[in-house]
Amino acid sequence: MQNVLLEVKDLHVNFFLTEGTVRAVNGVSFEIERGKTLGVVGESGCGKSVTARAILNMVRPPGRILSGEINYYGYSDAPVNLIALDPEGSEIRRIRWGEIAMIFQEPMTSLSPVHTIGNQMTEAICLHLNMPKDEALRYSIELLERVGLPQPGRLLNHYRHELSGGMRQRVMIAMALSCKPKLLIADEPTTAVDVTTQAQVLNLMRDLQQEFGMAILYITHDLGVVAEMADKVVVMYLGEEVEGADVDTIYYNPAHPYTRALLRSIPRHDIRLDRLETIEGNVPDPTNIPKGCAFHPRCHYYVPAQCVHPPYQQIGDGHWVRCTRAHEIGQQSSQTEQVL
Amino acid sequence: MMTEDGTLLQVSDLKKHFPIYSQGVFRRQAVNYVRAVDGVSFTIKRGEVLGLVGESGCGKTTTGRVILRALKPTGGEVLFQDRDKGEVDLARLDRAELRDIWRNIQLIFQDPYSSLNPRMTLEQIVGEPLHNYDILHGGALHDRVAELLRLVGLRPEYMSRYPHAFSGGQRQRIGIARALALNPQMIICDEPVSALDVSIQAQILNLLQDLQAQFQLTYLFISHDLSVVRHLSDRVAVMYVGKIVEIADTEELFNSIRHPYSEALLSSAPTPDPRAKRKHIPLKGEVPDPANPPSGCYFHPRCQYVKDRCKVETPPLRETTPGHWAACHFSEALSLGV
Repeated sequence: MQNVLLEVKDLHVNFFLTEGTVRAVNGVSFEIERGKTLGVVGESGCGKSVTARAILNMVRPPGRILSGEINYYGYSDAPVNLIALDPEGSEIRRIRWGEIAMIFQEPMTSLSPVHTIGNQMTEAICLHLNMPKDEALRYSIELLERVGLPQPGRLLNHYRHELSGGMRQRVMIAMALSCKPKLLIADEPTTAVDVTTQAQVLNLMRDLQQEFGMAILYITHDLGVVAEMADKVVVMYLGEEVEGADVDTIYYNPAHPYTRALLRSIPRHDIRLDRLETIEGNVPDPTNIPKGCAFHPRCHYYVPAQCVHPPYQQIGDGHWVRCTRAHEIGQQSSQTEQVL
Repeated sequence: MMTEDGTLLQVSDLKKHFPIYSQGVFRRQAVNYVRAVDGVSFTIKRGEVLGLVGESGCGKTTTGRVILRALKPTGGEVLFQDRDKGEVDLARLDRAELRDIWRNIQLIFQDPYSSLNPRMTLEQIVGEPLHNYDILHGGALHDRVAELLRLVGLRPEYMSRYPHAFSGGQRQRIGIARALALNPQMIICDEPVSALDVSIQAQILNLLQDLQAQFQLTYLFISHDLSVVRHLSDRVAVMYVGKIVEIADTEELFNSIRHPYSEALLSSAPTPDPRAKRKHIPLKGEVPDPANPPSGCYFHPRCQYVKDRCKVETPPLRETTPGHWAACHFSEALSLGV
């Protein structure tokens, strides 16, 4: 347990909508190790972003954290259960940014339109690090330089609309790093930027992780990005974890039908595929999740009597799967191996 | 009516410049131009899929729109071998003439949410082109719409429903059915899968592939995603700041890159394989402003192989090996690849 920085235990988050109750996160458990990257993969509506928000105790109505524990081991003494804290209280506010920082998909909406970059950065730094204004300014310039932005001194006087998407995301990263967090939550940080900019941002995050030794929770739908960034991966489907393992196992020996199907359904730029395999149908309506195994209406391996509410069970070293037929499926080699 | 070599579309030196006006109440004077498309040339053969790939702002969407004449080109020629009219230059046609040509060139949009009229039923949406061109009416129209829906994997019973009742993937199928309604010769697909979830993306790509084979369709496939382009295209053109920098057969291009920008682009694309050992070529700086492009080769400020000549002399797109064109002075001298 020494290496564990954050532990999520049986987390349940519901959204109470007029259309019905959405069980956005339905009993999710995982651990994030110090200095490592955990990738959370899934399609839209699988609950990956809600999980991230729950960690910072930022779920807003109509959403509510029903139960579970999120234990933060960042302090030397006893763990802190983040969801037991008052969401507006001083302790969680110190942890947000100070201990756990977050960057979002669209940096445009995370930056204020009416304050300069310098204003926003120094305000946060003054508050969290108790620095006087001029020192905070110097520190801001240092941070902007570190994330590779040209002419950081001038940049401080700019507004968000004057920056490109890649520059905004760098500013967000610089701000997130200002308090040297132990955990960085990155929620699709490169989905809105171009591929060459994405490569720059990913490289930057990897370098900074080495330098500061921070852990990263990387949330994305992009299986390419996860393969490059993550040490461990959790695959989510309709609010549940369906598979969790180290990155190599996920790509070379996946045991859940959904993981396998996802990997076979993506076009590749590195190898030639004649035809993609598809997952039939659509992601079901989240207010009306299928009974039993949530994936069963789209699953090739479905056997009516057998696939009744599969538990999340360990089938190998650190390899967890939510499928009653995981053992037989895991025996078959993955598509990646067949192709390469 | 076909040319000897089966060319369906020939684009030569196509240009689209958007004026930037000076601030003024009475006199609007163009002070500069955004060179969104700046001298693009390529051909597409009948039944071929040409992938047009590039980052945002490179002019790929504008190229598609100018070909379709949703925008009027600033210069250049777009020769299209129309099924009914023979060879026509799309760049010079007026609106009445274009109406006939649009029967044979259709467009599939990126965003399946904003491209369907929420106040029309599926039958009206898919049947609209047939109705507009006065081709089918009444029962025959109804039957044709049912057939089209079946073709794209939707149940004809849904015909009286409105778009809001459908998911993103289903909406994209509706858009495809509409594009197919008039039996077009060519379809311009503008990022047709980039708004879709991973599992839905594969369904749509397969559908596009099947329809292409079934009807010998010709696609101009515009995308920012190299994986998608590699998967679907016979040939690929890479665009950067309004120009094509490299064009070749898909396998040839991915296996023997001839332009430093294509190399950087490919090396930036994440590979869904944790064991992959790939070269990373980080690009410095940002994509230049197409209103004020750099001198010489537009890529030179970011190119790691830059030499003095690149700063002054614009490299032409030239054939380096048969069928493989690249716009780089040093294509042959560099050993590129990821």
